[in-house]
Amino acid sequence: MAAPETFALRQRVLRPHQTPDEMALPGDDDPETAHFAARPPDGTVVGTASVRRQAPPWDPGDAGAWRLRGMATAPEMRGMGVGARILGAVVDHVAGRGGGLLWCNARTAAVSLYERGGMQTRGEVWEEEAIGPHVAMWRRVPDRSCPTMPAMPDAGARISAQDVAHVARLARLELSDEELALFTEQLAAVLDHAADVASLDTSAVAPTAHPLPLDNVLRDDEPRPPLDREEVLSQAPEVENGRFKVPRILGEAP
Amino acid sequence: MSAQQIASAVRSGRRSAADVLDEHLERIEAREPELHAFNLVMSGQARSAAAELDRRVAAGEDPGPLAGVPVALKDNLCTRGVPTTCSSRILEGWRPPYDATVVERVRDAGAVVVGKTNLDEFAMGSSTENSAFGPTRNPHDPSRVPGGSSGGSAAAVAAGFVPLALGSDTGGSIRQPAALCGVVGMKPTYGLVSRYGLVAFASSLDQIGPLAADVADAALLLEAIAGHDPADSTSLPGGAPPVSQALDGGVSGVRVGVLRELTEGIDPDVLKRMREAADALADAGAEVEEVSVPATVYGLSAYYLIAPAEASSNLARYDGVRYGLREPAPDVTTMYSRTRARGFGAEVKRRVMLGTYALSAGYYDAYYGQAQRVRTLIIQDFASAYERVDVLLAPTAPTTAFAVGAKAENPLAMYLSDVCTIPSNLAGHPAMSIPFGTGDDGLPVGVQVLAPALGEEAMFRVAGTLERAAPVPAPAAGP
Repeated sequence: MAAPETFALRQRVLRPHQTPDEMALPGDDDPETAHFAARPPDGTVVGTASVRRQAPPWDPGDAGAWRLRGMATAPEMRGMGVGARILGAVVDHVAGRGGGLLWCNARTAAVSLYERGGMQTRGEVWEEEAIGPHVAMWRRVPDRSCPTMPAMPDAGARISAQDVAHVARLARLELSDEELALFTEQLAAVLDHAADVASLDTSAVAPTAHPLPLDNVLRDDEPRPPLDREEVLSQAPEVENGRFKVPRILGEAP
Repeated sequence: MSAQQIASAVRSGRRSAADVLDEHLERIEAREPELHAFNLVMSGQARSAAAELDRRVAAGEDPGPLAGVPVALKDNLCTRGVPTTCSSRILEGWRPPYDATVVERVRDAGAVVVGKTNLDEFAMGSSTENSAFGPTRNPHDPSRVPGGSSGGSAAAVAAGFVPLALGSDTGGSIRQPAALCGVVGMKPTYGLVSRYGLVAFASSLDQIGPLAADVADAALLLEAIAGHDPADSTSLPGGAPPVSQALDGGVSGVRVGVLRELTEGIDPDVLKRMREAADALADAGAEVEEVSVPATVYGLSAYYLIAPAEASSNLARYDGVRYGLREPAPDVTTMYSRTRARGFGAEVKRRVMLGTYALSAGYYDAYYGQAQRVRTLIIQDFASAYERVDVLLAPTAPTTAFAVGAKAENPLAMYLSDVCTIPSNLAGHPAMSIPFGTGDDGLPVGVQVLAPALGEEAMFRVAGTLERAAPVPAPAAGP
């Protein structure tokens, strides 16, 4: 959609002290800039955002970075997932164009919305005159080639709480909120340390999985005494009819 | 009495195994409450085993080279019918249905197993503080850690509870606690000692090895446990290397390289001892030079991707189905997640998470694959170094024993304890730590001898020489 269609909502939510005509942002008309709007069937614009190429202030050399701006949801539509869907559309847009760093200056009131979209805060909160407190937020957006993972392991990219929660599910570990927060910080520190390895040029080096050349070891196919069945089963938490017993596996009633 | 002296006395009938055992059980009784080296002291079984040995000696049999020698086992070595916990809640009360090969071998050699020693949970740690059953203390100063993860085994030897103990070494878990406790600790060439019955942590790195009060006793125990085992598909063909014969061989003409990259980030007093060790070898006739093994600087980072990756896979088996803890839940997936949440401690969870992440889609190449390539670089750089020298010399640990709790909240600081020991695991090479004087704080310092694969004989020659040249060791505090 065209930028001016978003101005009314931008003004109403983000800049009530200005007029809709003042809502144009630098780069609104750049070809790679995209504007997003959520419109219910009546055609009104209830959510907006735009994204364009812009390096973050903390890394002016990152020409591949994307800045999210003008994200607004109509007050009467809040809590209905409008913001999350717009953010999702923005992430898809960035992912479809090679991914990269996505950042924004977020109003502190909206931090949790962005966090649910995989973004995290960076640095201190500052006061934007006549608008309110802001904080920088960012995330890595993957290239479409790996759509399931929310981040790319570039040196400097930090593992997010969302990544950690995903990994905990893969590892079948139920984590408390405290553990999630602690592990996010500690895993990031270890991975930062590993960045020296991740960034090393090893294109000409074959990987070593094992210090020995492993060969299949075969023996004559002769019966040998196995472990004692009763002894093994005696160690299981629950057995029935000589088998290990577990809680229900599929969705049927127990 | 050393293990050699005990075995010799028991074999000849000069001393009974029962008497030897009682002496050691008394020492355990006196200081174990303070040190917590053991998860389990097996007094009853040990007394039966000692009595049986004494009957055999009386009947004219020779029980073997470890006759009557009390031995402690790290509690990640399976013992049939005897609890094997890995210091983890998830295995509390588990009684394995079989013995580890090394356990059979020490018993076959006449040793008396006296107990299972404390460790960092599943051998993940460098201080023995990550034990579900509480930390082990350093016998030289109980306010300090004994190192880890084989801290219980190292403390048990240092306190005189046993002359010999077995540990496992994945990134330094035998050598680093040996250094911090002032005893000898040795990691054999990968594949030299069977891993059958060692609870797996990182299978391409794990290796069982001896801890002992002196180099000769370490050699004795290595000879008892080494050699091919059909039950371990990574076991090397061939028998044990004759390391006992190498001890007194001297180092005349032996080429020793001081490993340059591992002299960085080391406490000055520790480094000073390592330099003195190099000088002592030169005085004894070795050709000493400084040698660079450049890729070793990446060892720590590569290790803390590879080891957790393998651990996350190995520890998938603790799911509450076949053994150990189970948390009740309405469905099986929730049961897995809750059982593992309750059964694993923080460090194990951290490494399982790190490893799962490093192996997950989109990250595999950047982390795990890259770490495996770095592993190749380390092996190549070692190979170049070993064209010039026979063995390498380095500190074992960057510091002497640190205070209990000092690094407990900072995993990365703890991981740095292993910076000097990790490269040998990644390469599959043998290495050993020999006590060499003390640091400024009066606590033991270990010097590490590294050798190429199956270079154990040269390594023990150098170790024997270093032991004879070492400053008089500090006795472990206490009675």
